This record gives sequence, structure tokens and C-alpha cells, in this order.
Amino acid sequence: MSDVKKTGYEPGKPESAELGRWRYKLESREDKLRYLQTGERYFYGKDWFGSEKRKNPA
Amino acid sequence: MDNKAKSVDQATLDLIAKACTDCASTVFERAENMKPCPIGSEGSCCKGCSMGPCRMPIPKNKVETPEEHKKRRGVCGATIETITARNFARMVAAGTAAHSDHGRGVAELLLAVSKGEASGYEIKDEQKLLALALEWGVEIGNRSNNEIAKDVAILALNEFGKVEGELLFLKRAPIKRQEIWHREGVAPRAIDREVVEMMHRTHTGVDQDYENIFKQVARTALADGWGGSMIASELQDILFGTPTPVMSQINLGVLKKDEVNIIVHGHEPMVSEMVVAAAMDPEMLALAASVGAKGINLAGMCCTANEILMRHGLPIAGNFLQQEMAIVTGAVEAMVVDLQCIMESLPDVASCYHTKIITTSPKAMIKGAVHLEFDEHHALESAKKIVRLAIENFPNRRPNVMIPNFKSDLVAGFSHETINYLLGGMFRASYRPLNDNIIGGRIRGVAGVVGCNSARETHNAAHVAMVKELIKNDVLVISTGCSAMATAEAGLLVPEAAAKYAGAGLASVCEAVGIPPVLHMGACIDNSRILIAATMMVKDGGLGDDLADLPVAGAAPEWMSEKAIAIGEYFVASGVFTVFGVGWPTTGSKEVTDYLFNKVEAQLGGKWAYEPDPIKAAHLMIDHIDAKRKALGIDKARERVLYDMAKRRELE
Repeated sequence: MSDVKKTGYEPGKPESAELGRWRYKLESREDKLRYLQTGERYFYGKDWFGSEKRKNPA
Repeated sequence: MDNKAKSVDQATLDLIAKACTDCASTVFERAENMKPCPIGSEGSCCKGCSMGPCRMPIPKNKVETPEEHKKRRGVCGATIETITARNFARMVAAGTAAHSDHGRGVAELLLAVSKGEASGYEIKDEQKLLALALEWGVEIGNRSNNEIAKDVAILALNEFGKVEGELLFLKRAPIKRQEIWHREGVAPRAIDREVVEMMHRTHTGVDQDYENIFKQVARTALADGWGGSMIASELQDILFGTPTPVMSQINLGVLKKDEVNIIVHGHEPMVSEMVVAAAMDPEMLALAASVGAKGINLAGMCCTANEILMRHGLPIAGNFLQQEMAIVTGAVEAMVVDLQCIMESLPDVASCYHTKIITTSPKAMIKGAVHLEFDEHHALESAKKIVRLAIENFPNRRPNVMIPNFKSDLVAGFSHETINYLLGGMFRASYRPLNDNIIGGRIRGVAGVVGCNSARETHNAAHVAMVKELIKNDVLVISTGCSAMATAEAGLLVPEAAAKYAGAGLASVCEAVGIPPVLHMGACIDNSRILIAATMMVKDGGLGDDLADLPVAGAAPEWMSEKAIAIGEYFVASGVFTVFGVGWPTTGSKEVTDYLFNKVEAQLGGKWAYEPDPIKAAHLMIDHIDAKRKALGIDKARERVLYDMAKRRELE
């Protein structure tokens, strides 16, 4: 178990509300579909995952 | 009850005192004057036919004899078990109907948008649209978003009344969970069908085996969590954007003395999204200036607030028990309401001030309110009418204005997609770091703390106490609805709260990722997002095969509405241990209560508990999490050994 000795984050508040809007980084339809198949592979990838993978070999 | 016992929030306490001075009747006063019915609160009253109502309260301060128990039957012969089960079932049916009718409204709007019949709205999140298209087998190719959206909307609307098959979103659940639903015969077929069948089976003289009633209760609730609610969240994301992290503020101090204050209140984002647009319109801003206001200040209340917070970062004025308090400030020009959890007393309170209560839905009108029906086909024009009415009311403000100087910072916007992204980044998005930290013991488990406020409890007290206890014990909390607002007002929804309130393990993870120890996932409809986040944890592996294997628990310590019971039931039916506070509606039957608190676990993997003390309730959740950790074999720290090839061969 690690202790938090001191805060490591930058103090203050981010100035741009756009900073958190990560979904706009994907612009084209192809990029979005690719992200779904990788980033959200749990539902849109072609492989099974975790314990479900062992039970359902590809 | 003295004022201090009514709320832990100073802004609310100050305004309760002001309401007394201004002779405004509030929920806190009414709760003092109206005690809960002791027979109804234990589920021992049946008013299903004209031979009753039949009252069969459980004997107080003594053990009921078998003979006494036998006599506790209605005129029709229904046992107390059947009656408490029916009452509970009808709560679940009503809650499911509320969430699902909300979902139907969003699906109808998506269909109208796809046909170009709803000006002002557009598809804001193409990626979410594509995700649903992939999932539901809608052709993507080179088709336009509107063409795809039309097919998705029709499929979504079909979920309410289709004649064969089962709900499409059930396939999102872990495979083992789907098998359990099929084994137990509780996989919902169509949303409306399950609600209708629940009402039928609880009619006089139909289903009179309480365990059989509870099978349909589970099926109905699952039609909410994995049906109506999930459709609402997903399609709202398509139309208004999937939530991403936003900063904002909360509490009645967000109201502004020198601006036109408009509060949007209720649960649906369709009206409020357009009011947001109308409030930024130069024509409206000029009109506000012409009446002497420095601007238009839009703030939210209840779950409509959560919807516009999650997507626009608009400030929140408060949660359920603060709706009348906002009017008592004397600084609100208009409170615009849509659906659900809206107190009928609002026009009465408003009569002590200048506030206009504006109803917008044909499904939810209030005597004494101004009704401006919202036309989704001409949404911006409708919204401008509302904003104009508020602006024109600004000069009518009376001298009795008092805006409490209390507000807290918060970070919200943690959709399950955003958590996935935050944990791994654009190229390695994953729930793996969460699972690894649970397996490694830095995070003990995950708790979903959700639900309403109740005037029978000290406002916000149980939410805040429970969540502080959980994060102190390294349990990551995910939250929605009025519970998220309560903890936000207490300052728990900022990353800095981790170092201040969380245990060392949880704090270290929060700091590394840059997240608060309490993640705000949205409105109460968005509890379906919690189901998906938990599913992603299962699918990533290492924490069992099913939602019931996860070291997780749920709670609604200040629940009030039938929707809360429906939500709790769909978590139980999804395999999650769920603790409620305030009161428990089946205590009239020990047998039914024992079924819900114990026996149901053997069937569905989850079970209910009732504990009004939030600290004790938190420890019930922690004990459950520890038991699940033990079952997974991750309850003890283990030395990590790097296997060389020889050792690997030995394994085989």
C-alpha cells in the first residue's frame, strides 16, 4: 500500500472547458469506428475478454 | 425537529428559517405535520378492490403467533405475503414506467430529428450513434447520420412493444448474467409488456404466490435498467453528447442577485437543452439588459440539473429537497419544470414571491402554474417564450431576496466511456487499471451510492456520511442523481477530496488518474451507466465471470420515490447487493422481507438490505465487498513472482 506524501497535481483550475472534451479528438467516421473496436472492445471488438474469453474460445 | 436536524446544508437551513419568516409552507414543515401512515409504510394495506381497503398491520412489540399470522388476510383471502409483494411490485412497475416513458420520449425525438422534423436539435455524438448501429446491426456504410439515426430510433421504439424476442441491451451483460436471467425466467421481453403484465398480475385475484410475483418484479425492473433507462441514456448521448469531464458549482449560492435567474427542474434534458440555447441568444440577452438585469443565469435542479451539468457544465442550485428553497431566495424569476419529482406545492411557495412556475409537458401540469407546452418541432421558439417570460418577470422581484453565500466546486461528466478513456487514454482505453488496483488492494471495491432525498431524514446527512465512510475505507464511489448532488455540496466531487477524505490506497489511485474519489455519472436515469461500467469490469477479467462476483455494492440511503425501488430491484436482479435507508416497504411480512434480504440471492446473485444508519449501512457494503474479495481470492496481499520459462512449463 502506498501513502500519499504530498499532492502531485497542479494547483488551480484548468482554464478551458474544452480540455475534458476528449471525444472531439476523433474526427472522421473511420477513426470513431476504429476507436469503438479497440477502446470499447468489450462490446465492439471481435475478441472475448477476461474470463469470458476462456469460456468462449475464438 | 429543530432546523439543524432538517439538513446538513447551511444554505438550506438559512432558507428554512427565511421560509418561516415569509410564511411559505415547505416540505420540511409538512413532514413535521404529517407523520407517515404506519400501516402503509410496512406494505400491510391493500386497496385493490371495493371490499377493502384491508389493513393488516404486523403486531407491534410482540412476536406474532401462527394463529395471528393466519388471520392477517384481506377480505378476498389474499395473504399478507401476497399483499406486501403486490404493493412492492406496483412500486417497481411505476418506477419502471417513469424511466421508460422518459426513454420513449427521447426515442421519439431522435426519430423526429432524423426526419428533419425537430428544428434546433441535431445529432451531437456520431460515435455513440455508430456504436448503437454496430450493436443493433444497423447498416453504416456511407449512409448519413440521419439515415442511421432513423433506423436506430425505430429499433429503440420497437423495444417497448415488440411481440417476440427479448430486449436488445441484455446482450451487453456478462454471458453468465444472461444465463442466470434465462435460467430464472426473468429476461424481459418488451418494456411495456413487463409493466402491463406486472399490473395485471397484481390485480385482485391473479398472481397469489409471492415468489412468482417477485419473478415478474425482477423482469419488470430489468426492463427498466437494461431497457427504458438505458435507451434514455444512450439516445440522449446521441442527441446531446456523451458526458465528458466538466467543472461546475453547486448549491443555492449559484443564483445571482443582479441577473435573471431561471431554474430548470425535473428529469428530461429535451426542454432544458433548448432553454440553454435560448438563454445565450443575443435577442434574449438584450431583452434582459433592457429590464436592468446584467445577464441570464441558468441553473438546474434535480436530475434535469444533472443532465445539463454533465453536458454543459451548467451550475446546479440543489437537489430534491432544495426545490422550494430556491424559490424562497426570492431571486428566481422562473422555475421551468418537465417531469418527475416536482412538488405540487411549488406554485403555493411561489405565491409568497414573484417566481413563475412554468410547466412544459402535457404529462405533468400543476394547478396554479403557467403552462407553456414545449413543442419539440419548434423547440427554440418554445424555449424563447419561456426565457422571455422569465425576463419580463425580473422587474417584479420583491425586496425579500436572500441568496445564501454557499456553493461548492465539483467535477462531473464520468460516463462509462469517459472512465474507460481516463484510465487508459485514447490508445489504451481500458478498465484494466481499475481491475488491477482492486486486485492489488489499493481500491477495496466499488460502491454505487445513488437515489433521492427524503424529508423523513436529515437532508443530505446519510448520503454524505455513507460516502465519507466508504471512501475512507478505500471504496471508490460512483454516484448519480440527488446523492451525487449531496456529496458535491459537501465538497467530495473534486480531486482534492481524495487526499482529504479517502484512504491511502484509493487516494493514490485518484491522484495518479486525476479523478475525485466520488465519480458523478449523471441523472437517476443514468444508473444504467453504472451497470455498463460494472459489466466492463467483468469483461476485462480477473474479477469473476458475473456482476455478482464483483466486489461491489449499491445503496440509496435517502430514497423516496418508486423509481428508486425500481432501480434498487434492477441492481439486485443484476447480481448486486443493495442497501436502502429511510424505511423498508415490506416489513409487514417477515416472509417476504426474508425472501428479499436473503433467499433471492440464491436465484439472482444479488439481494436487498435495509439499514437506516448510514455508517452501519456503509459497513454492510464493505463487509459484502470483503466477502466477494475473499471468494475471488484477492483478500490477501500476495508476493508477485516473475515466472521464468522453466516455471511456466511446470504450470502446464
